[in-house]
Amino acid sequence: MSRFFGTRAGNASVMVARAIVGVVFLAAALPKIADPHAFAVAIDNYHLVPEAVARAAGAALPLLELVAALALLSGVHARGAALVSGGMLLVFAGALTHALRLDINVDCGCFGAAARSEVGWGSVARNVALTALCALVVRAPDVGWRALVGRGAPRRSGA
Amino acid sequence: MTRAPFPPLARGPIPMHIRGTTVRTIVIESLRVLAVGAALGLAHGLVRGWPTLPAPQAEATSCGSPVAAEPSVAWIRCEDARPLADDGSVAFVDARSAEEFLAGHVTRAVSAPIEETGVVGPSVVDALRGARLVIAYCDTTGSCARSTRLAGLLARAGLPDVRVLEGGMAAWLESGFPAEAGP
Repeated sequence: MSRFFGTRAGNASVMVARAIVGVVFLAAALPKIADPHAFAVAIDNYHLVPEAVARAAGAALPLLELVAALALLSGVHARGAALVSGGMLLVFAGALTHALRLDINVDCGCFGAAARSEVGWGSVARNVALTALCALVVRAPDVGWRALVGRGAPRRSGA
Repeated sequence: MTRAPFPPLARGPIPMHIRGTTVRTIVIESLRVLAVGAALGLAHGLVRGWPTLPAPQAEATSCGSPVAAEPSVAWIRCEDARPLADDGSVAFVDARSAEEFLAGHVTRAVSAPIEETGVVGPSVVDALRGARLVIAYCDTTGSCARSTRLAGLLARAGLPDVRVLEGGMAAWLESGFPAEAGP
């Protein structure tokens, strides 16, 4: 597996994983930023957090998703963004599972008011799959888009 | 032949690496992402205002203007539920607090204060077991949260047909439908 990373195919898989998670997060964040009220109501419908927390999360979470998406797509702090994204996805999957266990048929809230869909195991599976992609990005070397062209050495990320 | 001395041991904890980057670096990166996201979220909330949630009973104007229900929730309209109040095979269940129930409830309704207990007791389920249709209600909010939650729990307990009353108790009273006070 360690030899896989650093090869052209390995770099490509990491870039594709970053692109998928980044695009999904971007698609999820923009409608929520446009209508934070609908997202706050969606959070409140899960009955997991107090109203004040639902309101704060309705405003803050979409921006966090946007920052994570931009980081994943640009490659700046991509592994840190993947760690944050994976954490968020696990929390979302937990909330979805909670609603499914209680048979609460609420709007998923996954993509804001743009694409309403009720909670379902499909949503949980999607989040788990995206979390796996995040784990791949965290575990893989930090590569830039140029790595797709050749076998170039992984980029060192400084901190 | 003299043996070369051992290299000095590194002091302090040995940093963990994942593919060329220390775990510490990844954690710092994630904290930066979190900080930027939180700062932007805070600014967004301050500039555009924090999201608001529908106030209780704000939308309980009449049976004709139902709550902003999620499309997937099985609702029943107030006027459709009214004739069922006289049907012995239909049960109403009140998700509000015990005090609210005592102050006034749909005639023959069973009290199940979901917010106080967090669960539906077996006595409540047994009382509703024979009903062909169970209608849950509470005070109206944007999602009619308590009754929606109660309906889900009752359905999970095996009751065949559980629905949520649009507009809740407020709309029921406003329409002049039968209600009673006390236990």
